[in-house]
Amino acid sequence: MSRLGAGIKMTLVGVSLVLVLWAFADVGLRTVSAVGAGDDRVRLRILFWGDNRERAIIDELITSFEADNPGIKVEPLHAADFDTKLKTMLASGDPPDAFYMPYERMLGQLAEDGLLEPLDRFIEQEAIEDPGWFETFYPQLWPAFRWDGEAKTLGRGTLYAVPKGFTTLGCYVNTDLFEQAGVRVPYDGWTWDEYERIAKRITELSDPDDPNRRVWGGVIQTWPLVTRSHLWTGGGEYFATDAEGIADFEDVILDEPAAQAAIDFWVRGRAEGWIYRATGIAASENELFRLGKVGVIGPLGRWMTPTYRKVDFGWDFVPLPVGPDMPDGFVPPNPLVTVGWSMASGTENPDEAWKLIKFLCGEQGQVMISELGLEIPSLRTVAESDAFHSEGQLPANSRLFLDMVETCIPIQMPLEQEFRRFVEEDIQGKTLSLFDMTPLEGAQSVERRWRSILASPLNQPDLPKMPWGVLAIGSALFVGAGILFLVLWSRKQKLGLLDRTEERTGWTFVSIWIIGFALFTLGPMVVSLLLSLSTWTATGPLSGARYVGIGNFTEMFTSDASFYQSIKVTVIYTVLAVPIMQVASILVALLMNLAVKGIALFRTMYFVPSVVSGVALVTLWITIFDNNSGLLNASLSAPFEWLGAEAPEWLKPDWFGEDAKWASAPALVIMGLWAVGGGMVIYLAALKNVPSSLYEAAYLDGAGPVRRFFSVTLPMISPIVFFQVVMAIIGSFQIFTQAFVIRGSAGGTNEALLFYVLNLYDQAFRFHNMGYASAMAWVLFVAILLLTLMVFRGSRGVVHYEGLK
Amino acid sequence: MEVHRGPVSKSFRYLVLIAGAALLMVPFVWLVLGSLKTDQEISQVPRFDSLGALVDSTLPDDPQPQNFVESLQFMGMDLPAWATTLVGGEATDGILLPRFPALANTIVITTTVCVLQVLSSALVGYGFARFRFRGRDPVFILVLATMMLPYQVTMIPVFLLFRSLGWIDSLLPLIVPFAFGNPFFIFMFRQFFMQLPYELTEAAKIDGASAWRTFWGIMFPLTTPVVAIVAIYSFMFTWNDFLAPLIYLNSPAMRTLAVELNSFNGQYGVENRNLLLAASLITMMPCVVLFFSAQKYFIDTGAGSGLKG
Repeated sequence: MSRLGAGIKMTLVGVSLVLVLWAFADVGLRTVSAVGAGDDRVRLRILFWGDNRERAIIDELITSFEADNPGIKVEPLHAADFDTKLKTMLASGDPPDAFYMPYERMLGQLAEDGLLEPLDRFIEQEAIEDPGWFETFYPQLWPAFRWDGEAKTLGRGTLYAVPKGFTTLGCYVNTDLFEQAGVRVPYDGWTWDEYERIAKRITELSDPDDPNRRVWGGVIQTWPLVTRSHLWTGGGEYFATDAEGIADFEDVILDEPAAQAAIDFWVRGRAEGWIYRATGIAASENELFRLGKVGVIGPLGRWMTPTYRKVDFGWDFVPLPVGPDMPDGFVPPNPLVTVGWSMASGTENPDEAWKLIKFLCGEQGQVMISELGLEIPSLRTVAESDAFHSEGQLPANSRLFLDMVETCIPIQMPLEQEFRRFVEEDIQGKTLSLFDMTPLEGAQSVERRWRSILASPLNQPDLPKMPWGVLAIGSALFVGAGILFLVLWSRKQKLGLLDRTEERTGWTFVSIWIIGFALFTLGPMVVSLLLSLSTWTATGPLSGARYVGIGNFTEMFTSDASFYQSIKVTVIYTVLAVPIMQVASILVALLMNLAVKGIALFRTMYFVPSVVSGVALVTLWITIFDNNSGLLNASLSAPFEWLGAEAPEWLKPDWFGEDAKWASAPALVIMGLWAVGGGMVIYLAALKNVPSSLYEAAYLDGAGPVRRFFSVTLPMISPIVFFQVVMAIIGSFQIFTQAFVIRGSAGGTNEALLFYVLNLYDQAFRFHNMGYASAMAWVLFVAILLLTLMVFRGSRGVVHYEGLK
Repeated sequence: MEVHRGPVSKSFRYLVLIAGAALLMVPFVWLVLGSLKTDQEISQVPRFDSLGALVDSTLPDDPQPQNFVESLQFMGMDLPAWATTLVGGEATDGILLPRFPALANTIVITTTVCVLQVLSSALVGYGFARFRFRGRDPVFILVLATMMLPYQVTMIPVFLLFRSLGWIDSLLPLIVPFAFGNPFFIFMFRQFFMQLPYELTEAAKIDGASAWRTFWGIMFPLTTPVVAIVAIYSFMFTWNDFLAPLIYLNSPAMRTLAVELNSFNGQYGVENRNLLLAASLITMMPCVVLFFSAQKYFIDTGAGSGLKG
């Protein structure tokens, strides 16, 4: 190696050593100082989400709180994936003392499980100590955090959180585009018809020749919560409601004319092109507005204001358009989007936790959040102050956020998370985005699937409790009997003295793995096998699990369409990916095994892509598969454009959107092929191990290169091929990160991306059916096990172990 | 031995090698260019209908090298004033050396896991490969079977276990489970040891060397190629692992790079795709450097000498 190479190497080794030493010193010092610092203050842990700006505000609040209360130490825990984090902490019996409460998806369930501390007694206490405090909040907010355990109804009963802030929903408008199109900004309200007319006028501003100068009249947001606010503007609803406004979750009315008219309207807008329709990976809707390419975007809340304050065009905030058949002066109800601070029922320091919650919902924090523009403060005094809106600040029409408070009503959703899923998949996905279903088909599908959930034996209220004691003893006996059987069975074979020594040594080496297996695999597996016989939401303690026998498995195989869908997607991908990837890896390894100058450099270049993995890898490929700004589709159509022709449509697929049915698996294989170096290095090591004497012999016998490959190379590397094929099958059955991130970027509902483990993850962490998810995990495990055994069988006589006696 | 070929075949080989490398480098170049672009630029529709348009829509108009410092600061790096005069970014008062807990944590976890995994997997793999004992095959099938076990199956119960040990929010849950051998690597070591001729150990056995000494003295030194591959794989898996740190680590000071990388995915989608690309680029560099420096182990197979010697 040259002197330069040696110099680089020395530098690298030096830098790595310094970095490793620094890292150990840094972590070591932190550990020592954490142990050494005797801290007898009361510890409170709080869990919240939010971007860096929100984190900074919370940190600052904690500093002031600790200064005021020297006896309390607050540890802020921030989670990007808040729901999963909170649920895991709750399930482990180690909840944070106080945490954000997204009431519409969590309050009922957590209150039912007894995980929330009722706050009424603190409120009563405040009424004496701090009169008027309760009244400084917007009164419309409190019902969102009340839960009536008897009637299982939101909006009344026990109080479980203090609102920290909220928002009302409306539309953001690009006033510059309105002006260019010569239309008025609808500050006093508008109808769907006016929306259509305006959106069409704005869409006409597009430059047809330049895709970078396209403009869309409108963008609609369609996740279930805001879709519901659309329905309300035309008198529609998800569920029938009684005179008191209490929803009857058994009566889905999406198929009634009011709801149908609303959905029809949005579908037509997207089909005719005056509403932006995103399918697959495309520019996010918010981003399009931010880049000045959209006239109206909504329904959105206050949370977009900080982002839009950075744009360089005129913009403002207007009410949602209302249905054409609604009476004059009709003001639609606004869904109450609010977050509060809740207290865990298990907290050891309820009084300190209350003090903290009160402080976090207090004026200081609300002023800071309001100045940032992220939400409407829950304190009326702050909302009316300059902190929320000062002269000359955008949006000029901020007053509208506050005016709509009067019409806010809490969002009632059933405790079962599946309803949201069905709306996402059938209305948001198949109806509004992919056009796979008509609005009526979408509504009927939601209703049918929802009824099947309600009727499922897993959802009946009178299920017996899991008999954990019996099961624990039973499984201990079972495992013990299994081990005993194995020991006795293997003892049948008699051994000589020398063999006995060898046996003892063998077991000693292997025992390392056995200890780890018992601790981190066998025990947990037994627990999860038992869980598969139960329904458990993962929010409560294990003792709250209900026993259903093989109910989860029956449900899976008889009435869960998404289970079969996820199997289909996974099998198609596996059948496509495993052979292509292995052949490609071997070919590249052969190429890399060539003795040519500079091969080391080529090896690095071929391997480099495979070191990128996880979120970073998928993010990169998203920018390549993107329908608009992506590299791939632009490259595919480039040759046609150079010839002055138009590229055929099938060469510009919407990889993870409309065309996902056939394009998503090949796209994932393309992504996989980029990391071909990962398999290549293993095959390369195997090729290096093939003794060159064998090649020499084959060459002297007159074998050509192809013959040499099939007669010498392939048999010699066959153990590795076998190993790689098994690993590839297992890997493709467990594909998760790619599917997870891509599905998230592609609208989140496309069933062509519903891989098995993704479905399993959804069941566990979105719908909180831990029992069902455990059952799914076990089905997957057994399937992979059987498949591997089949490969083992099939490989007999094909795989050669040279050193094996 | 390499069979001699004519010059045509040689240039053809280079053509294939270069074409493949170029194709594989394209996404990488796209990543590097993207990490230098502005937020606005990265969302443009690329047009390749002329050479000018091609250049225009791939190259950043005004390269933003500060994306790199910004993205690292986003991930929790604090720089003292003297460092910011060199590389830019915002300075933090009152510190003398740069602080970057995510990097320190990731290095500690990765190096420890890497060493522990190589050693434990080699020992276990050796046990399975070179000793005959009753119950060996069922146990080995068990090892393979755990490879098929989806992580989700044991996740919650294992979490309960670590919580009862009081290890949540420490680095231990991310290190300790890996000290007992990884089935993937055990399999690799086993396959390798099985291919080694028995003559190698017979002599030692006759001399009365213990199995332990035979392993360290004769067998382990031969495993260099497998160690290199296992070490790189172990390093990559641990370096990029996302789910486990997400579950076990709570406080900001304990986070790893992968978790910080995910913090770019804000609640309302990725806000700074250019910074995310810059951060991804930096995060993957150690893996690239490691492979580059371990190249020679892939090329010289130590196993060959064992066969001949």
